[in-house]
Amino acid sequence: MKKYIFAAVIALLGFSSCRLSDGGIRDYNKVPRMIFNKVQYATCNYVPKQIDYVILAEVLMQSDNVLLGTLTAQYMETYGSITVEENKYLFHKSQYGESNSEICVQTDGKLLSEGGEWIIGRGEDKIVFEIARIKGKDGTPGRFEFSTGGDIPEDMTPNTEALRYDVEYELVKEASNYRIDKQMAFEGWVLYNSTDEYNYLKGKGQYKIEWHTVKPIVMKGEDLCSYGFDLLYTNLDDGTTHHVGAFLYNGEIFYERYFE
Amino acid sequence: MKNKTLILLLTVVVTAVGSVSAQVREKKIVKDDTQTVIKHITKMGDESIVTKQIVLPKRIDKHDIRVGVGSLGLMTSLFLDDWGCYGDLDLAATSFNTSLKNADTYSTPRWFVGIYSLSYTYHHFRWLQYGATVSFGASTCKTRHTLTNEVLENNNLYMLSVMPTVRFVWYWREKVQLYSSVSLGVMTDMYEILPWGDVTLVGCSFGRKFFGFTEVGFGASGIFRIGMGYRFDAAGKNKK
Repeated sequence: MKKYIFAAVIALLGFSSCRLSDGGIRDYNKVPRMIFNKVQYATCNYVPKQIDYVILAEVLMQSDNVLLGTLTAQYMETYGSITVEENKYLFHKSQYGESNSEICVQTDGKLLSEGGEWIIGRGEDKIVFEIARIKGKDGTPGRFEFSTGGDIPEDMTPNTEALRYDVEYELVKEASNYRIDKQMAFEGWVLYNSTDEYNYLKGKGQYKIEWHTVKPIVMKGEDLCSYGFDLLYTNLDDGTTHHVGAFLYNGEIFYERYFE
Repeated sequence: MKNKTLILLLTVVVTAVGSVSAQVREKKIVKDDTQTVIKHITKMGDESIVTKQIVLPKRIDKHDIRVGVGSLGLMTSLFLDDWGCYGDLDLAATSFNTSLKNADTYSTPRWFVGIYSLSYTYHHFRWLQYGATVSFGASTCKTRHTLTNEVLENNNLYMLSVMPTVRFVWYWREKVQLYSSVSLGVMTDMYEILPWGDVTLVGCSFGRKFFGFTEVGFGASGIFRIGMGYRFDAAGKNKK
């Protein structure tokens, strides 16, 4: 009898324990991924789009606006348009888009390939917020320098302080369409001075992320083909740093952490 | 010859019937908690023969101690389950700096290790027992560093309750008993002290001196409980 009682108790010891929650995932890539995601929009979405406007303006200027209709249909959203004025190209976003602001590329009358120096910014008929300055690279066709450092409206992230791109591009004709292939190498840094307030939980922190390309960003049209970033995160409150890398190969992102 | 056999048979039958009808038998049974006394009274004419048989119960136990283990219940999970709060610290509501600090950590699964109870009861009557119960339950969870896997923080949760207990035995046999019980006392999760209780809806104990038990209830000891116990302070020296 005692044997059975004892065995029953031992059996229940196994049944009484159970797993209440799965816990977290041991993710080695979480830190580099978080840091990279902070800058990815600036480097792989926002700035390349601004660079496209510069390239379109150069192509239009070069073709004497012959390609205006074609490029408008290809690159502007529905109801969007491109207006050509003297030394100015206005890119009107969709009438029904989220933002009513427009992009203005102000030229100096010279092509970038001739050493021209342009400005790109926001504004309806003139630049109200300067986004970047563009300078032709040594007078070489298909190359220019794109430098931010001007004011970016607060609704855009990140709060870019200084970012310099070296851009090489090529306009590729495919049947009746044109595709912009570009390669962008850059370096710069961004300072975040964020006060995050979410409902009842408040947290604030200052941090800085410096980054540059170790492999230039290569894009074919809208498709990201490859890149390699080297990023250094510094927590300005306690001095913690993280040195990480992010690389895109064959559609997959790989991360690396560097420990000194 | 045949007649002689028949007469002999008749004589035996008449004698037997006669002797039975001459006896009056009576049986009296007196029972109490300590013993049962059976009196056999046989009257034969003017004489009566009384025999007394005392039957002692095999065991009279006044005390029992029991230990048991219980499963998780809704009430206990309020204190032993963090409901996923420690699952992932990268909440949207924290700042980037804070989220990044926690990004190099991960939490292990939370395991419930059982609710263990120890109780003592005094058997005032066969149907009424009272005493005290102490229950302890815990769940374990750790925060570890992602790269080195070292333990950074213990996120264990504990629950300790102390309660007076009253048990009602509504079916009593020497080897099997069915009962219900109520306990009301206090509980602490190491942060605060709260009034707490436990109810056993149905419990069954099986055994004599050493016994096992199973219970179904709710409260501090969990939903399903099982354990073993020991009864002592036997009265009546029954050698069996």
